[in-house]
Amino acid sequence: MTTDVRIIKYIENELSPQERNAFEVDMNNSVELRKEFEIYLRVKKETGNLKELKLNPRYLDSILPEFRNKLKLPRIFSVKRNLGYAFGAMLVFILSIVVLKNFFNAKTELTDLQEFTQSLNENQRIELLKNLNGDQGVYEIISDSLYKPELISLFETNLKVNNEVAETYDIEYHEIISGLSKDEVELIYNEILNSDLLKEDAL
Amino acid sequence: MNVKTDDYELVRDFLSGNEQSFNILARKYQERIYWHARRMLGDHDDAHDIVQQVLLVMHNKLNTFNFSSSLYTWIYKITATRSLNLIKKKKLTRLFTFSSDEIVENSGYENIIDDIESRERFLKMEKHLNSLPVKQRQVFVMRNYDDFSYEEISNMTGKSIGTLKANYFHAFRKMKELMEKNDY
Repeated sequence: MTTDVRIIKYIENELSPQERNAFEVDMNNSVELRKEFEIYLRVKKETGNLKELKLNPRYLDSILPEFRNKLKLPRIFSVKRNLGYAFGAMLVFILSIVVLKNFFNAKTELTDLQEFTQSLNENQRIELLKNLNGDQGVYEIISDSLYKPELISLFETNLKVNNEVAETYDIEYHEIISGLSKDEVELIYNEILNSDLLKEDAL
Repeated sequence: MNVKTDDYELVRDFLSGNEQSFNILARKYQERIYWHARRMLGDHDDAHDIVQQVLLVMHNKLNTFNFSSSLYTWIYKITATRSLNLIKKKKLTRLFTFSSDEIVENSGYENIIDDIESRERFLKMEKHLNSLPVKQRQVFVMRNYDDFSYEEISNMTGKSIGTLKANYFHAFRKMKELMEKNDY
């Protein structure tokens, strides 16, 4: 127990008889403790003195008539207060709309997507995945391997384009590929996959 | 004429339509309501507002009072709650209006205490009380001015006795420091 707590407990009569005796002995032996105790006691006494303060009778007599007058008055419509409430209500309403709209939109999109994907059969899902990846992936794989001589000959065979002709006309292979139909690209891609040409490449 | 002074009788009388009984109750408790509010709020106008509010609550809600506690405890609870609510409201207002926390000196109402010396001492003490955090101030006021025990305060505020004691000790220590500093 700290000295402060001990003093307060002594003043508040919260110490046991033994603790009280011990505290009084300590106080007799310590000037500092006695000094501290005196200050605390002064706070307590000052509070006690001010407890009995009396209000001016004229003021006291004015309280009830004022209250009675207020009771008689009809409730006044406060424009300021009601505008405040209206503004608050409107703000809450707008915020609720915004929050709810976002909430339902997000939920609808998610629900629609789930419903859509669940409605597809396996082939349709594969097709969807391919489309999502884009044909760009196919082009990239092919054009990454363009400088392989074997690939060039493969292209020549499949596309019936002579490499020299292509070079003469400054035609890049990726330009040729970009002009191909999906099926043609798919055909070349499958051939590349089935050949041993790309074993060392990072497919 | 037999003047009723018992709270129970006065309440019954008022509830059966005798406004005079309410006036007696109001006069009986108005000063105590004022002082609690004043010590908590540190401002005459605010304390005066609380008195008017509490009288209105008494007038409108005395029919719900069931005498499970004393009438004074019931009124005191209303006063304490209203005072705390006003403190919170004022804090919020200060926050949103970017006003300072500075305590506004009471002016024009010094004469509510007739005795000049007592008034001076009261104003000094009020300044110290206002320096305490609200929780500490509340328990200090309830213990020292309104003479409630920790058990009674605990019943009214819903706080544990341990918490109340801790707050009271802190408040007491701070009041001592403040009074020491200000050369009491």
